[in-house]
Amino acid sequence: MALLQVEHVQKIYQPKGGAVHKALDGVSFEVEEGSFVAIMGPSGSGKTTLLNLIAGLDRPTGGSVVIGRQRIEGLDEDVLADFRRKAIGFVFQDFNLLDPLTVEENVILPLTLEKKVGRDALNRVHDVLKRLGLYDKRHRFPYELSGGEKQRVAIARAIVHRPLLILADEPTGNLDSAMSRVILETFGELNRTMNITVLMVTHDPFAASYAERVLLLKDGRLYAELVRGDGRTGLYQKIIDALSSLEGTVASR
Amino acid sequence: MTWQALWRRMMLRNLKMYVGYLLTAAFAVMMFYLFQSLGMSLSGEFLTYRRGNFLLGVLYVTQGVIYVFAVFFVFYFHRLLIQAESQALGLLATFGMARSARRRLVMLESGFLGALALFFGLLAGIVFEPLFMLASSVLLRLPERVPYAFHLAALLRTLVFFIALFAVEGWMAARWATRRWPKQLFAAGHAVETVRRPSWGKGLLGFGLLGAAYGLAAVVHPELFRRADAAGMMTFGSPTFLLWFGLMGVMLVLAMAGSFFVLAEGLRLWVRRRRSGRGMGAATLLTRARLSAALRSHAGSGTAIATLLAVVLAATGMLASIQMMMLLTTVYESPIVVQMAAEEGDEAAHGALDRVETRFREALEAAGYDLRPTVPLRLLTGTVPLDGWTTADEMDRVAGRFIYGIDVIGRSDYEALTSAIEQTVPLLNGKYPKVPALGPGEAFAVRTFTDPKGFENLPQTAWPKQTGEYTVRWIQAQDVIDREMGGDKAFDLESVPSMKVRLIGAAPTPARLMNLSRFWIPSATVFVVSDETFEAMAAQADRPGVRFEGRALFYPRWQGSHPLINRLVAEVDPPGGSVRAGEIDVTTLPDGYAERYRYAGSILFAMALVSLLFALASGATIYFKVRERARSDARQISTLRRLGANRGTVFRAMRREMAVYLFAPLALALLHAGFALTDWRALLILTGLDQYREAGPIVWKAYAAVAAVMLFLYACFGWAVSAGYARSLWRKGWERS
Repeated sequence: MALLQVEHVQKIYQPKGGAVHKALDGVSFEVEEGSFVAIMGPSGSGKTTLLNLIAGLDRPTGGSVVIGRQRIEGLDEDVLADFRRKAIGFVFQDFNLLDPLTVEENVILPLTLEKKVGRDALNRVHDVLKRLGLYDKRHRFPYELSGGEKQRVAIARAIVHRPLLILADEPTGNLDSAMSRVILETFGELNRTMNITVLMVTHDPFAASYAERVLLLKDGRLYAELVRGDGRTGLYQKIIDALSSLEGTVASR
Repeated sequence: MTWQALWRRMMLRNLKMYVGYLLTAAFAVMMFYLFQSLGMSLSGEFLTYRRGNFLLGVLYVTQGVIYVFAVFFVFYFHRLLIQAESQALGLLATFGMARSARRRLVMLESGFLGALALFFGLLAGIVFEPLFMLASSVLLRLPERVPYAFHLAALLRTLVFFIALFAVEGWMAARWATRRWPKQLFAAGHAVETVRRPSWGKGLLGFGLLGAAYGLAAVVHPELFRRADAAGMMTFGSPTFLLWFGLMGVMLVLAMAGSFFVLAEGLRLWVRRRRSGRGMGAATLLTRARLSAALRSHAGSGTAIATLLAVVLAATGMLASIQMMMLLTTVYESPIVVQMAAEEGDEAAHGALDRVETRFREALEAAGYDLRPTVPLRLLTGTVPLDGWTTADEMDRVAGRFIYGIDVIGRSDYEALTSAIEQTVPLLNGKYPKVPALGPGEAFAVRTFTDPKGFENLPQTAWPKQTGEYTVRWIQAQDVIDREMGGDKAFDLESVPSMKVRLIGAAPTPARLMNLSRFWIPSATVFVVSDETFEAMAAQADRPGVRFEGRALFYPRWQGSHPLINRLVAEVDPPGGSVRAGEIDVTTLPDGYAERYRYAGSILFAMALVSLLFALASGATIYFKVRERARSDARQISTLRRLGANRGTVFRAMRREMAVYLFAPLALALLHAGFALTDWRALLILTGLDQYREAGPIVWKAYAAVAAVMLFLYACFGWAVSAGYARSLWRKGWERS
């Protein structure tokens, strides 16, 4: 069953007195529940714009986005906020942890917004922190953590309220390769063990190879769709090939 | 745990970010309360002494300035604070916090911070109030200490004003936070400047706009006034007046727009040009790179600060010049250090005059003052009709414009008096005209309190100007009362004794000849006659209320004698401030001078306090503005450390950068205020207010004093803040490294 349906989504920017810029031009795809999908593309291809539209952080110029059974474009901002609170978890490239709050407090934040404030909430936070190996560091502040640990806190914060969908925007963009591997394995494990649906934007073929399916964007359009067949290495090779073809197209233009 | 509790924790752990806002707001509350309280303490029984209303006026103006500053800074600061929090707000919005909850959050935070500022501000106000009253008494040189009293009304006014202010400001901040999409909030939280090439066109436009504003202020505006005034077109509400007035708005707009472009583009152009030089140190390179990226975002706040600072400086200069003119006026109005006078022919008064003179001389000499010989005075008061009107005309206009009050004085008295004045009051040296030789029945008119330029323009209807024969009538005050008010007996002009004199010439003096006193018709003209003519006139003017005798006392260093003078006047005066002692008038220069001097001090005192408030708030504004970039700055420092930048380089760069942010608006403000005062100075001269042309130096002195205070405060503030900021960046850079 499709958890996410994106149909003919368009996003057009026109600054005052400036030229029209189509960030997204009729993008359509579906994401099945419990899948791990990566969106790739060169800079300026519209990856982050697409993620923002799916999350309801921005409004599309045309087309529709359906998550679960909820069509989100045109929703009132408060209803949209309510929907995001329940259905979506976010992981950002630069972590976006609140520096004055401890690890535990950062993770419990989405639950407090749902008014889940009792012992159960704290237990759930502790469970998530244990699963991600951060329980012992729950009283530390973000500045006392490494980059990988910060991103794992951000992941814990994204899953603690059990969302339908996790949206990750370049989650390994600020990390070295060892830390990136840990984070991507964490996503994979969460996807497998908790059946969490993950939609990840990345420009890194290695990161994308952790997904089951890779959507390649170019100039605001869906350029190719790659599916993992026989393991991660195969998908990685397909991505490299597709990227070469994409770069060739770009170069020949 | 609730999100409200989390937010509270976040605020408590992030106090540094709030300290600037809290300090400024609490300081504004404290100043507001103290000035309200001081105004109330002074407006009661305490200010019954003369000219107390002026001091209250100054206080009200100061309160007005504090109102304006409080509104500006509370609004501006909270906006910056909210921007600094926008990352957190964006995160909350992303995680699904409803707009209503965000609105509540921001309102609650505003309310909480406002309540803290109110509490600490009022607490500080109440704690420091006795000290403030004592300081005010000393600095304003009040005759006694301002009594400390708790004024509930001051407390309530402060509460009402600031609760309303914090509520409006909270509502506006909440509106800002709820009208934005999460993406926009994130963007606001990561203020990263897009470095654009500075525009030569805009930079030059900035200098051009400033040049236009300054040209208008220095040349066009005063010249328009001069020409319109000469053509008689400068009447209130006339098109020319409106044009002249409207030009002030144009100058303000030009100066603000010019400041913005100069700060945003002109300064960046200069910085970029300097960057291309070879052999530049790392700190210089870093400073200039950072400035060329960030100056544009500082241009808005810099312009606002430059404008407000210019207002403070210009207002200080203007108020100081008014005070200086009043101080000069006091000297010109009362040129005799101590003058005592009584009606001639009253034996009792004559005896009293001797006793009072002796008492003053003894007391002053005992106090170490070197008294010069007493100058005796004899004076007749009369009127002359102008333009040769008949008696019937005079009767119709007896108290109107066409019959003119004069004082008559003998030549030897005039010379003795002017010589003593010129020796004792150096300001008046050379200010009195020399009287030519006078024959019997001849007079020379000395027009007092008039500058030479004004003298030429005076119409005949305003004073006896034409040489020729005049009829001097010895009209008494009672005659006018009878005529105008229907007194006891009918006024018969024919029965008033008169004498013909021939006016042989006239000249002005900017001062008076005698202290402004109680004579019944405002008179600005003294007829100097030969001693023989004076005796003949005095014999004829044998009516009550016409002949006066007096004594004039002179001594150097008279400025410091006012406490003693006040005591001596109090001995011969009944309490309550009247200067009449039975039949004796006592008027003194030191008393009026000291009083006026005190007010001039009060202006500077008030402006210095306002400047302090302003310096603190504007400095904190700039600091907040700098902190907006803390995240990207930390990243930059991290990179620099990897490249091998050392602590000294980073600290030097930060200090220089902060100096530019602080002093560039200050430099512009000094220029703005300088030209505003040039315009003001020209206006004073053109309107004849600064007829002695001596107000200028004090204007510039006041301007320089406040500017120096500002520079000092800014330097201290800049040093402390840049060091603190650089330290924090260095630490963060290390963590990132």
